[in-house]
Amino acid sequence: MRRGSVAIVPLFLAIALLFWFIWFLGGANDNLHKVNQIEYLQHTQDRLLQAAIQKRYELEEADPTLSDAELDAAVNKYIQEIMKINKIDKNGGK
Amino acid sequence: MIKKALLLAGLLISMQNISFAATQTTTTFKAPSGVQQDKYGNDYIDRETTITTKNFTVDNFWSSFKEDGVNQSNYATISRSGLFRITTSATSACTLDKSLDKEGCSGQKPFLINNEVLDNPVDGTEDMYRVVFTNAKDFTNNDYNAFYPLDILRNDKYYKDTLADTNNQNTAKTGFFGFITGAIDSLFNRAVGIDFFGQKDIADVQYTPRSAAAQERRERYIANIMAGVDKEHRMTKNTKDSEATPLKTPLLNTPVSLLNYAEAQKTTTKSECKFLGLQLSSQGAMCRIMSGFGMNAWMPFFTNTKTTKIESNFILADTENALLAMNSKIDSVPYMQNTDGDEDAKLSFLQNILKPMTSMIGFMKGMFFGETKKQSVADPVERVYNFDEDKAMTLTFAVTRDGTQVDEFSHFKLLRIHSVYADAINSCTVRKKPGMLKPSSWGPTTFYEGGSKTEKSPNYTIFNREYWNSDQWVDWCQKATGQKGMFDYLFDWQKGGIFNPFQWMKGFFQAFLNFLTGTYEITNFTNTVKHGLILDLKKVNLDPLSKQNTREIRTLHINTPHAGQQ
Repeated sequence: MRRGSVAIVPLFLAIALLFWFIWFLGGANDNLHKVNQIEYLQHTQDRLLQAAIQKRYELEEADPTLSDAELDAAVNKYIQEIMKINKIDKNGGK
Repeated sequence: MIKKALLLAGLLISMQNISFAATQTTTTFKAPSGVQQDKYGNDYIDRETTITTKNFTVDNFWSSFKEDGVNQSNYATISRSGLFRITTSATSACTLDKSLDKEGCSGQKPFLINNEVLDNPVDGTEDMYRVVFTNAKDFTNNDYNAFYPLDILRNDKYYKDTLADTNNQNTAKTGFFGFITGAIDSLFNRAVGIDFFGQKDIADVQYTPRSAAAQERRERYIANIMAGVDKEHRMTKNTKDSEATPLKTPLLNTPVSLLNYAEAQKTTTKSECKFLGLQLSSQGAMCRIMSGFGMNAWMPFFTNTKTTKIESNFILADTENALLAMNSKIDSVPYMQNTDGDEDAKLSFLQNILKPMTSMIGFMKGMFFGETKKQSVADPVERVYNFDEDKAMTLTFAVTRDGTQVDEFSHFKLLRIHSVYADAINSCTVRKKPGMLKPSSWGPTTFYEGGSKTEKSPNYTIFNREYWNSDQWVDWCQKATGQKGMFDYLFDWQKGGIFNPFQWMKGFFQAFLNFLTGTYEITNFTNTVKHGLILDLKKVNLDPLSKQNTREIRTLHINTPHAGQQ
């Protein structure tokens, strides 16, 4: 054993701490990312709520013969399309 | 073999995918609430919508480096739901004309009805009402078939002509103001002198006939009908956050009061013929000859004055014209062309004077004014404008219970406008002067319609002892007044007609006959030319889908019913 070898311990510790820190930050980043994604989704939903009502009236205006169920289905599809464009709805659910 | 292997591989991949369900969003609507009315009388419904996203996945990058880390986070349900208020207002003009200023428009029209109206549909037909335009001074708390004009303040910029502003000349007459002032210019007679009924009650304006203030009230009223009351001055009913707008029944007080102008609508004809200070029979030969040939112009000691006083109810004509103008815009049918109403508004002073004279015989009171007994003469002239129910204009009326405040609002589709002209004679004063062949005479006698007085008829002879009752006398007066004398022919000539000596001779001959048989002088004849306006209305809820209505969606609140991680 050389005397100098002891000096490497804090260095190892420092490197370990760095790795831990990277790991820690990474996890935190994941958490932040999750929160961000959910917030984003909810804001999108917020804005689409009114758009859905607006769209329903527009559809009804264009074709007053549509039944309630048909209108609901049409609006549902419309919102789904927007969700796909926004990369929220995914086919196959990867 | 290779194909099979590929298929197997594909199956494996897809099986792996099945382990995570697809992210999918669904939108659902709850059944809307029943139709309710906001404080301005607009209809609204509340409706809840929910958007739910299932199996929302978030890819994790750093967790991949963790031993037990998952590279995806999956959320079973993330959902938001919101409650929305969809308000509909009947702003037909403003939604049809894109250049109209939204702030200057609303569904409220300056009309008031009693709540009794709503309890009394026409012949029990549900939701159908027939209401008559009535003078503000005739307002009663419980009239169930009348509507009254309201004076409601309006922001200047939503009806005033902006042409005065020279910097603004390019924009004037193009936008909202242009539409309203253009309509006022072209459809309504600006030259009308408006005498406000109840002028003594004006608190804020010094009353002068034909005053700018009076003119302003009139234009404001027309603008309020055409565009609806502006946003700033809308009336409110009593709700949690608003107090009912008080109605001032002493007229012409702000902010909301019953409105009336030029109320008299009376035509009075009075003949007076004097020669050297002596009263002559105005129907007599002397008078006819003198005045007929225009000799009186050179004879200052001879006067023959025939005073005809007519006052037409212009507020009624304005109301009718404004409603027709709006419907013309909606239907693209020029209702205003070749209509009596239009001509009426544009008649010159002289024409106005002559109108009752020439039209009196033809026009009769009748069913509308409850005077059906006189079948001998013509029916009242009634013009009916029918509007297509799909396109009909929707009017929001203020409803009052006791006349002190606006209690609620009611929406009606305007299906029909009846414009009725009829006259009703109030009285006729006649006196008989002795003639060459009939020397009997009697003093001035006033015959009232439906009265009980009888008198020897002009046809009375010893062989034909004919008496006339009051009605017959009044009828005779009406014809006599309508009959043209030379004086009238002179007027015809002045009006631009051709000078016709034969007509003058005819008048001369009639005058001679009168000279022989004795004359009946009509000293006073009061005739009311009635112009009635009736609306056929259908009570409706406002259709949020109609192009004539404005639809407004407002968020009441948004909440998060579910959000959870799988």
